[in-house]
Amino acid sequence: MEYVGIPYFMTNKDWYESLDEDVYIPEFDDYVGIVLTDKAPEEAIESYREFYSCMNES
Amino acid sequence: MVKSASYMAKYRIRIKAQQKGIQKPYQAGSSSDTKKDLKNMFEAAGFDTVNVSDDFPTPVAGAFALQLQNLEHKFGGVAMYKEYGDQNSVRQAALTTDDSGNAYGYYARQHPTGVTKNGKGTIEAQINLNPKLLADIKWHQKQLKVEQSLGFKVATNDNILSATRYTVTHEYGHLLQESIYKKAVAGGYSKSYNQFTGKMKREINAIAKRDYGATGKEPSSYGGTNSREFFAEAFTSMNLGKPNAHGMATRDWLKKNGYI
Repeated sequence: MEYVGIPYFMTNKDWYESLDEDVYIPEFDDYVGIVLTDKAPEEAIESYREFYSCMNES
Repeated sequence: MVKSASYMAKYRIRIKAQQKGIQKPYQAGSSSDTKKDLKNMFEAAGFDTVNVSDDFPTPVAGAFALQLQNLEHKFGGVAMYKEYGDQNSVRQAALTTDDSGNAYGYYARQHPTGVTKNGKGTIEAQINLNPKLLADIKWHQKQLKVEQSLGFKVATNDNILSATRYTVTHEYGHLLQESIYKKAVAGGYSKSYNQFTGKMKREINAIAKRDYGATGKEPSSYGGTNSREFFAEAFTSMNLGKPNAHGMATRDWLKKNGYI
């Protein structure tokens, strides 16, 4: 999938961390390469969920 | 639509010329012929099912088809899928153009039909391109430039054709990576697709660091979202005129493993 625009959780580098290896997240039934940090606000968490749910759909 | 007098005069001259047999019928621009030509162009890239939306201007759809032909000629991803893909199924490739929400496009494996008489179902390797986001190339180029300037997508040269080719190249990258995996499985590789894409990511990253001085872990921040997007973005970088360290490393990886 090629996502349009930049998801909100990726607009601040303090909010997320890029991993060397993907990890499996049961909620999305998929492997992800980015996890959120403790600094991520609620809106970023929501955006992260939306983004990865959408990634798994396609 | 009302035609002008000068248009009708030119039209009458053309018809008279055709009747005298000195000019071939003027048909290439008619919409049904154009659609047929476009379908043929996608089929030449290996796609069995082709459904191109009328919302795409002909030059844009033509640019997609030519890029797919070019990529297929270089890498043979569609042919590789048909040879090594899901072995218990009839394997085909599809090019579709549905509205895919907030995605320029996507790659998926679809099951368009049920099980056939011989007990085999059909599985299509499908590339979908979103006409709502890709038909207006000027809007798309502007949007892509914003994403590129922030490092979310890989850089390309400033040619508008490279912007037009971005999504179709990215999605072909997904198709190619899966075809490479299927070939590896046919050759005895027994681990999961995610383990395979993770291995490719590690190997490409190692080349990017060692040979091209890469400082980051991914070709673009979108390429960091998972190891499948990592390859699709690095592959796009490699093919659209301004390869970064990961783009060049991807080219080297493909060469080293016999895919170029």
